[in-house]
Amino acid sequence: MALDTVTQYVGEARVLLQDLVPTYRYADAELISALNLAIMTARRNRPDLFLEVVTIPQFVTSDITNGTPFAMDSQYRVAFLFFMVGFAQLRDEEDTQDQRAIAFITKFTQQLMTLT
Amino acid sequence: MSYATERLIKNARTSLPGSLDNVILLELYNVLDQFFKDSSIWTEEIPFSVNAADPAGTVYYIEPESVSTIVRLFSVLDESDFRQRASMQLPGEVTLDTPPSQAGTFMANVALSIVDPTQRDGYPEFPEWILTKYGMGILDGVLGRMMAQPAKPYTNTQLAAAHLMAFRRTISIAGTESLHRNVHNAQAWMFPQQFSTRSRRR
Repeated sequence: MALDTVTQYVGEARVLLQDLVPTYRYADAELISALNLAIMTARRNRPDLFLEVVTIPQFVTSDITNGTPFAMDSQYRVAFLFFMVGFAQLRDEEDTQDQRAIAFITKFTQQLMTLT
Repeated sequence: MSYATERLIKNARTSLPGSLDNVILLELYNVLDQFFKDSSIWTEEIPFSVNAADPAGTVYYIEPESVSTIVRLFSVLDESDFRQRASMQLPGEVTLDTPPSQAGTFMANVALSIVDPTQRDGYPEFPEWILTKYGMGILDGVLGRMMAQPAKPYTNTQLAAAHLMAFRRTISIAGTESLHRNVHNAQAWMFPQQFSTRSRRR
């Protein structure tokens, strides 16, 4: 999946979260919120990703059904997906989920700021 | 976009993993601007009309034909190709030290630099031969400035310093070659410097 739209981000996040069957464990609003937080964090760490925009994009749940595009350089789209998954899993109480969540969020930062 | 520009961007991409094209373009603009301002390699002769009745201190407005901005004034020649003393308080506003004695067309020789892009692809306009001749040095400038940016996948302060040093060297070579009109070994002899009345430094 090319990760061109908000719909595709949420869809891919659900694959990694193993949350593909309704009713969903992670609500659409939670995943959209995670995407918005990823954008805000990325704006802090990599302002050059948002050179062409005046205000950073923030999405709502209706953007999933509308298929609203999220314009991001293809090199960094996976990083946003990792943050969404990691942030969604932070709410889980099990220790194993915590480690997985931290791993995803760390991967997000690494992909934005380092070569690894 | 010319082949030389395209090659420069491709070279930059290869050496800067994780970089964005519009950031490379931004730094290319900065590098070219510094290159032209410091080397004065891009020049143009601009004619302007004078009248015998012009009072002292008359400002003559000049504008380059190419898409560029004026950096500094080299010289002003009258119709007989005699050099006239002149100054340029603001870029594009020439004032003659001595008012003209007769009407005619004077020629101002100025150094230019790039201005905001006007090409559809967003690339600044400048003479093609400059990138062909000094492309590697300009690439060094782009790589140096990109690698000097903090907290990016391509950040590398040591390589940045090396590339920027190479870029400064290219500016120096370009400035010297421009002074010698690209003639090898021209003007090797210099007048003894103890006779110099003013510094060669800008």
